[in-house]
Amino acid sequence: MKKIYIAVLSLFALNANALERYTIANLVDKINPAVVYIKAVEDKTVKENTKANPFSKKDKQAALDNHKKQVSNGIKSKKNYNIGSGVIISKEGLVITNYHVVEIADKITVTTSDNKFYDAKIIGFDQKSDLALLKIDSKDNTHFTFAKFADSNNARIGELVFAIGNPYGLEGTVSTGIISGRNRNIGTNIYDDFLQTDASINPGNSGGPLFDLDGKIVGINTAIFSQTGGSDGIGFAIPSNTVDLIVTQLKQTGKVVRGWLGIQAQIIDESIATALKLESTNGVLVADVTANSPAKLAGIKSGDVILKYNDKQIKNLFDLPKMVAKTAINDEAKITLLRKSQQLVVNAKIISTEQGAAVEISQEDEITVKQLKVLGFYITNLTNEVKKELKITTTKGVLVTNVDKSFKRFNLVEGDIILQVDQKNVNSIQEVKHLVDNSTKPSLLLFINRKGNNIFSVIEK
Amino acid sequence: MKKLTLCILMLLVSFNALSLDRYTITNLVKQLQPAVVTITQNIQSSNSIASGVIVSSDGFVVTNYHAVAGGNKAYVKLADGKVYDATVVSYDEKTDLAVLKMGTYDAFRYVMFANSDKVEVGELVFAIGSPYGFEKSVSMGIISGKNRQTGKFGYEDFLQTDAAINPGNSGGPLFNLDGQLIGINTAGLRTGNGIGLAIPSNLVQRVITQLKQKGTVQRPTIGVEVADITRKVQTILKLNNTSGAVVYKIKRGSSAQMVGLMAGDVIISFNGSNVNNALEFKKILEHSNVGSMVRMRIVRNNKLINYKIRLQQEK
Repeated sequence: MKKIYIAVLSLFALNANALERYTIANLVDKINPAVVYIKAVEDKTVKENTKANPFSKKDKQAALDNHKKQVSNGIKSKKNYNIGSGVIISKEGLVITNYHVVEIADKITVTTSDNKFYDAKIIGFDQKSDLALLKIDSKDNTHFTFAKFADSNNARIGELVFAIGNPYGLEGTVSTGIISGRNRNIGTNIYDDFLQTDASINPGNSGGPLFDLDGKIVGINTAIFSQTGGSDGIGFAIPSNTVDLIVTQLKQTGKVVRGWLGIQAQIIDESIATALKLESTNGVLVADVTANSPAKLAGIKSGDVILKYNDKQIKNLFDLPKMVAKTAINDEAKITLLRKSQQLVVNAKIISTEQGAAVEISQEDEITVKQLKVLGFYITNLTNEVKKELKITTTKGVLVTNVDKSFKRFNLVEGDIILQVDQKNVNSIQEVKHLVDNSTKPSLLLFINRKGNNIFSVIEK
Repeated sequence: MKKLTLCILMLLVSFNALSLDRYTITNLVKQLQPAVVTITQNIQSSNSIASGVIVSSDGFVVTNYHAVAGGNKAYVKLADGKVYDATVVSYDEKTDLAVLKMGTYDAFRYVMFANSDKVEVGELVFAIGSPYGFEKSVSMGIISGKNRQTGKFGYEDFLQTDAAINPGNSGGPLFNLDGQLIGINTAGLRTGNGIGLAIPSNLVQRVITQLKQKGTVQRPTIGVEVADITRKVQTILKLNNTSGAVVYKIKRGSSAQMVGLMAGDVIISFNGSNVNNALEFKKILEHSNVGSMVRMRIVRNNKLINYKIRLQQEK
């Protein structure tokens, strides 16, 4: 009898996740006071009077651009403004929004769901992640309703979510959908790690929260992919764990410092694993190491496989840059490598991305022009003329100038620079031909530079 | 007492079979993702990306014809990242469907077909695909309508959904909450946001069975074109009601011409089934066999006429 009771109880417990017609309505009632509407105003009268010199060409151009902007926005006043959304994350009135919402702001107004207006100031911002932290100026020490962060690592594809925001100025708009995808890279930068949702996200939703069915913030709505300008059902939100991390830094120092290792990495697919004789596709492959970088100084080499970073497994390509970014500057990172079937551990002293940008690569040059056909592709030596014309800075390798239609493999395209064939450096077209002709294997492992990125690639003969 | 508890238990269980929870779709996606594929003819460009779905363990894939039009080969990428060469086995332009076969002896996860005749407007569905190349994207919505026709393709009977369907979703699956294939999404017909179209699974199944067996779809015809009966037509033809399909064009040398069918005739019964509108007539034809003799009943000048007519193959 007791057992049956437990069974019944467990069924009820299962229903804790169940939905009914008011599930979202009830959550909205509870959480809506934490969502705010942001108006960021740029006061150009101030700027023009204090800074602009009407005789300077540059300022004239800037004024012209501003004028164009105003026309395209349909705003006739001298004041240019942005409208966005935000979410309160502490009772004192700390607000998260997108940096692009407040980027132009000389003055920020925050409106709460009870229609109260407040001024707000920027505590800190981070352009790379497109996040800004604001503080509401409240004279009467209001205790604000605030939202908590969900653990976005637990956000599951297909899970129901909802957004609250200010699309096209329609305050308090709620839209539902599911998590459509995770770890999306939309080409902003290497730290891209968006959640994708089909909940309607439109202009004005920017900076607003995406909630899970616990009523916790699972992401900050930031971008959409659209052909119409409005929602096509492909929206992107910064996952809450990233937001949490960045906000913590913004609170403390007003800015975000990211660690830098100095490598280019790539995913290990099955063909590369086979070619490199790896037992699995775990980890990421080091394609390039920047001279004088922490990675170089630690002895990491191109061709190494990074398995772990500070004992944490690298599961996909997106993991490593984010783990490195999170590392405190001057900390020694413990990196577990696989080199020629041997595991080894090195320590790299992480520097900041700013310091990293200062690290330079030295160059040299060489050779003569001629085209040669190998298998189904054409190659030429990297002469100075070729490099100049194509704006190539690499000095080693040979350039792929054309690929036959009949040789349409995925792994080689026009413009690639072949650096190695079967792990042997190549610097002339003759070397490539020699290695290809004398290879008895059915496939070749190429190491190529494509649009500045070094990658391994397998082609079949 | 025991019986009562058992009853409560069963009630709760049966209630749960149709109830929704926040992870219902999550759990289905996990099972189904391995059977959904990304299709491209040119792996270097993301312009030509479409979706597809595996329909047999030996690697037959269904997609839209327009996704592979003009080629006899395509690359098929699975959820785990593996890429297979595939050949276009055959296709049917009229329904915009194509059947591909992956060149391998590997065994694959595949999907089951739902009975799309039983799909209900308002029922929850979800799509998996690669909109704009965002692979393995899941979008959710409901069936917004049935039996939609746009006039773009020769044979149309679309399901309409408000689940986000974008370029790149083309050829990919729309699933019901049993995790069965309810339709093949067709994004080549975008009309607006929240209006997606899918080829219903029963039509898909019928077409691909023929494509796999014969390499072509044999469509029976009697050589007429028919339309719904509008109020205007009803007045002109002095009909009692608007049910039936009115003949407005007869092909030369067709069975219809041979038996003496005329423009303005209203078909009210065909091959043993009542005909209420033009789509119903087309559907009955689609389900009949080429070469067979069938009975049809028409109305002409307020008189009923019965014919026996042979079904020809549509060219």
